[in-house]
Amino acid sequence: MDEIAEFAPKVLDNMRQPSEDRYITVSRARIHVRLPADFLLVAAMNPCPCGGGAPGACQCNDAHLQRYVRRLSGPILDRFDLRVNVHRPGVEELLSHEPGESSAVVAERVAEARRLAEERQGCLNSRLSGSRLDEFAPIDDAGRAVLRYELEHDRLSARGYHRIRRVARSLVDLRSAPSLQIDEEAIQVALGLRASLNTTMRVGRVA
Amino acid sequence: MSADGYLAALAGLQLMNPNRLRHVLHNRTAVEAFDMATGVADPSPVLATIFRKNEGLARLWRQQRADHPPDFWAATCAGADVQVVGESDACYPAQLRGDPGAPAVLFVRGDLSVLDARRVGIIGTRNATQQGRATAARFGAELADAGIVVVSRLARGIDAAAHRGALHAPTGRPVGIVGNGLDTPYPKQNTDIWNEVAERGVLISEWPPGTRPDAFRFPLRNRILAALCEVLVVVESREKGGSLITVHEAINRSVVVMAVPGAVNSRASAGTNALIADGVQPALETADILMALGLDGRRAGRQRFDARPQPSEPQADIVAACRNEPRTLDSLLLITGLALGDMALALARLERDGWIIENGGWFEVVDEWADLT
Repeated sequence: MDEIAEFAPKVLDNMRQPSEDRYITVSRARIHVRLPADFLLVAAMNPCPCGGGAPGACQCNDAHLQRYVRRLSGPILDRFDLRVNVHRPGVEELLSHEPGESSAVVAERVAEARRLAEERQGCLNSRLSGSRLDEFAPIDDAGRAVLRYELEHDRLSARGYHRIRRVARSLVDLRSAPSLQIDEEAIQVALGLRASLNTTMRVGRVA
Repeated sequence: MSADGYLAALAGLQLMNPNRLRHVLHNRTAVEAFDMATGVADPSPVLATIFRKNEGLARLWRQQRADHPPDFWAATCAGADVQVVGESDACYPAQLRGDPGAPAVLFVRGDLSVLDARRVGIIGTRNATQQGRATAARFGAELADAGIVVVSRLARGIDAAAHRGALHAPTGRPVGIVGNGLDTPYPKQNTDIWNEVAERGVLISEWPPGTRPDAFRFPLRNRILAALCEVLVVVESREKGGSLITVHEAINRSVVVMAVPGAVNSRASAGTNALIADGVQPALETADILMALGLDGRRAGRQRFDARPQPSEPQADIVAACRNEPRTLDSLLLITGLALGDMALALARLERDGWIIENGGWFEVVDEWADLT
């Protein structure tokens, strides 16, 4: 969904149930049909109506910004495993362009990590339930302390907590020598992949 | 009944503006002016012309006299704890007397006598950077600590940070100039400083309680702010905006204007950098501002002990990289050559220790004043 904030809030909220349950129930006068709805949602939006930019560059007024950001409800936002800030490349970056890794190489690494997850727990990391997370993604003390801090300071919700753990599991699986235990580094990277929406007001990683 | 209700009723007439108000109150008592504006007495030639050019205005004001008589306004002001001050009142600020744009009526919450102290205006953009807000808070606190009264508006961004700084000093008695009625804090998120400024310093508006924060009222308050300052400091400003209107008003009144320089590519500093290029004095430290007031700058040191642990490598490199301008994660990785995992750990430490904050994917260095912004 490109420009996800332009969709009607009702449409977006209707996706909550199928995104969790992986099926959708269509009800008409006589029949109810349950249809499979297992999908991967990828969405993009601007940080604010004017497109934002470096701190101090935004031209939106408060009311505009609030209206824009509020279109995406907290629960919807909370259900995204990965929320990444993407910036306009600077002039330097555009000119001194070093080619990155090719997608084919990355895809190979991802396939390997998925195979590893299936082998270890019989499902992908995104399907791990809370109790199975304890078994297959135990967190070391330092990582646990970080999550405690984030939870206590209301920068992380309960749902976000489980999602962070699944993402951290995948981050470790993507390393060259994956361990069973999740360390602080993986937790911090996972937290960094959970951007908040608000650009001009100072808000931490809430949700 | 005293003149208060009549003054408030005049200022509260729809489509009333500072010039019209000045005219009707010129050489007239509040009662005479109100009678003239609302059709009980004959209009002056100037007012008659205004009525002729604005169809329906005379009728509107006559109607408003019936709908909201002076005793309604007297009760409204008293109920909102708002004092009505006319130009002929003894407590009308001396700095505004004789000013070409002097408001004929002021609405006041707090103590006008704080204006007897030395006064510095601190203003700037609402879309400020974290660094800009921290600078405003630092100036506000250190000036207030030196016994200087900080004058600002109450907008978010720089203005609010300056007030928070001034209120942080135990001796701070800031002045807030606002563009709406004093009964309703605006913007809402600054309700706490709005009330504290009224309690410890003074809030001033030229509009009666109940006046909404319409966009056209905000530029008007800038002339009052400029007239009340001895030195005006602009912390961050765009190429255009209310801050530069205030600068213009200040220069017309021979008020010393100072500006805080910023990075050349920072949008929030485009206006202030242009001012400095035009010859405005730069304000780098509180001492510079005290010097401009003719006071000994050495009295102002950094008032807060910096208790933050000094960052070691590689954190120090990150702080250095973000010092001049906000950086994205990508550019930090490029500059420092750190791996993503190490970078995430380092950033988390720096954020926890209060050295940097993340703002929409940008990392900014903050100083020990950041918690006031």
